[in-house]
Amino acid sequence: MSEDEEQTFKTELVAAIPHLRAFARSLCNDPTMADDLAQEALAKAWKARESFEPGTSIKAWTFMILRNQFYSEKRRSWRSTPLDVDMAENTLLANDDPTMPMELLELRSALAKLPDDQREALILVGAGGMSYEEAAQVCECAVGTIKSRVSRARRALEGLLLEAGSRSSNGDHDIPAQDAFDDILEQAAALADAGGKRSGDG
Amino acid sequence: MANKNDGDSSKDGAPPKDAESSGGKAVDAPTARRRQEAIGRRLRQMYEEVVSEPVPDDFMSFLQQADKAKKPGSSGGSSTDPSSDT
Repeated sequence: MSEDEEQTFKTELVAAIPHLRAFARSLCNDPTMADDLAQEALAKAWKARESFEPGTSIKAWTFMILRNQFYSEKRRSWRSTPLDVDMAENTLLANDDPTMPMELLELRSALAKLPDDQREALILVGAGGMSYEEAAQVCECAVGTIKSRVSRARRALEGLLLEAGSRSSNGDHDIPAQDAFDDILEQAAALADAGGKRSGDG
Repeated sequence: MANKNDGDSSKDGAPPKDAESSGGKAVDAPTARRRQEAIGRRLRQMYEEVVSEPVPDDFMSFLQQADKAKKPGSSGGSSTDPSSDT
């Protein structure tokens, strides 16, 4: 790698950091753990820079590194503690943002209940906006596999959120679960619209 | 209008109306669609929130160190790697 190439690589790598952090956070939920994971992935990516093919997606490449890191560590140690609500709640409190809708907590804990392969596929495509092709590269599987995981994850998540909606409306109100769910979603949409009109939505 | 939308590439081979999800009751297509759109928005929101956070200093200082370790001042023999990794 020439000096120039290395400089370009570094610039791209730095630009990928926020995404690495977001991906890590969605995978392991605990912000500190997530940042550790992202830093380890960054270090690995830097060491392996010679094997990166210029012109390909550095985001997909670093995500693949992070993902491998995550699963090997998970297998080794930090496994076994599935995300519990306390942890999600701490995350929420740490952000200390009054505009942060509570439903994000529900979303996170529902996500945590999905099988690993479905969750990561949905996060990559549905949250991170990756193409199916890029996501397939990250997960080192076929594009069709990603597609079906995403679609299963979407349906499962909908079911989990419906359940959560019915639990939280239990007792206080007599709102049927689905109404509560739709209501919550509308509020979330309104908040998102008011919060920051992003360039998206086309 | 069209009650069937077979051209939709996003659902891949999955029969949309078998309510295998634990949500139970089948709902009409617009409702299902609206829900999925809302879920999509929230997922992106969750992700974007982290993306827009300022990157902690550790990340940048790591790369600066990597930079320094790489070029110790002069060109040439970088054979001695000073205390780079564990």
